[in-house]
Amino acid sequence: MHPVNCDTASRLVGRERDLSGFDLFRFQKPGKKQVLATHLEITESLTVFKDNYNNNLRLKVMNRDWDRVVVIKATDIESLHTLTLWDGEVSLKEGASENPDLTVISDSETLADIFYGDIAPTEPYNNGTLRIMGSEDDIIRLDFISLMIWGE
Amino acid sequence: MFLANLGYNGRVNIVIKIGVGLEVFLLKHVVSVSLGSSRRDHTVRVELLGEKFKISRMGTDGDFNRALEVLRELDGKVDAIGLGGIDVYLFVRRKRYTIRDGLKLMEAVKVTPVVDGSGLKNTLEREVVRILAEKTGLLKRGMRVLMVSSLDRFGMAEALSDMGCDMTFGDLIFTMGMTYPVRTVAELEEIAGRTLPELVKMPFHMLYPTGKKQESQDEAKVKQFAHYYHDAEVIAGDYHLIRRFMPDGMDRRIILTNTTTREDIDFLREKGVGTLVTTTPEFEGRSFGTNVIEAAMVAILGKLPEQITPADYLDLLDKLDFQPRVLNLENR
Repeated sequence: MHPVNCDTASRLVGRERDLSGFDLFRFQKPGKKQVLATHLEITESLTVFKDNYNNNLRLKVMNRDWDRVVVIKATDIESLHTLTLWDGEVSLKEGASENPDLTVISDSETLADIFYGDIAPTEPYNNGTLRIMGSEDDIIRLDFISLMIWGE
Repeated sequence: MFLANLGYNGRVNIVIKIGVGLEVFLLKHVVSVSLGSSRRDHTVRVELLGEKFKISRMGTDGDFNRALEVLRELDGKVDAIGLGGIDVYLFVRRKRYTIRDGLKLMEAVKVTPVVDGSGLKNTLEREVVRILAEKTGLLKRGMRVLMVSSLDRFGMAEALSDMGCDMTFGDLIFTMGMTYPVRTVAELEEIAGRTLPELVKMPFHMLYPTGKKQESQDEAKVKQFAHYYHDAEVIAGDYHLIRRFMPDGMDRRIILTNTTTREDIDFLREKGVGTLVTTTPEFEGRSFGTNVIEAAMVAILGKLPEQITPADYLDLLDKLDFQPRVLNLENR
């Protein structure tokens, strides 16, 4: 049901239950410290991000004329999402969109960590773990929005 | 003519000229290494409190690695180094944020004192606002002031706000194109507290125009944000940013900045600017960046930069009798 990485060479490192009562398993590839987040976890992290954004009146005012389509793509599992900013509001859907203004690409765990607010995007961006395709102004603005939600 | 340069502990050059009469003098050499355009390079000789200075600027056209090389070459060979076109420290009230790329440059210098101008900026620019308000009448309570960027000169921002100006802080507008003018120092400080601890880690060129970008205007933003310039009576802040986004029709506006050349003055005149005020003194037709002046002050004081207090700077500014330069651009 969920595109959990079931590579037989991977090691089970965690187990949790999703909202529907299904068991979710987290695997780690041998020789790598990386832990994989599930598609559902990424969806949930983006939902948390979206809700925090939409509950922040100042962010909505700041971005009322910043209409953008942002695709979020995981590199280690099948997971695509689209965040759409329109008239100051953010909406989320699963799957990709054509001609996005920004494409955010990283491993599943980093994506979930960023959108849950567990880590800031700056370090993974600087060390290449996180790639963002788009204009520099838009990249800085996405970073700024994240910091306004999760910053100190 | 015979010219000898004798290094003494890498700090003082003694120049002996023979043939035009024996002339022996101590010359202090201050160099500003800038990420900005090399087109603005120049050297001047000035005398400050009886000491002779050779002050040079070396632009690296936005080439970060070239700047590192130049800094390493100069280290130990000059009296003080200023870092231009980049900040190392941003002071927001009592907090200090360190820009990662700026720190890399600063740490490349091991022997010579190196400064970025932020220490002096925080002192001098508050003083300039006071002088302009009390002695010239150019700044008045209630005036509409646009600061294109304020987090790099919080002292000026706070001083203008404290004297009762109607402030628009344009950091979000001009850095990332966000139509959100910040109106109070308190909100500026709050946004800085949330975002700067991380944003200072971003590549500097994403936060500030470096190299060739300094020679051109961002036409899209000039058009989109012209009303912020037109609504203001005073436009203050970093010159490169002011220039990059300035529209036509700046009739009678006052520009409060520094680091201007003769070409810059021509540019401002073409835009219709009424008055140019520079916070740093003019040497041979141009005002230098605060990093240069701070470096010269460090050379005069003979202290390590971290030992210098705002009181030291104020005392020295008083002795040097530095005054803001006010240039009327309408009658020339």
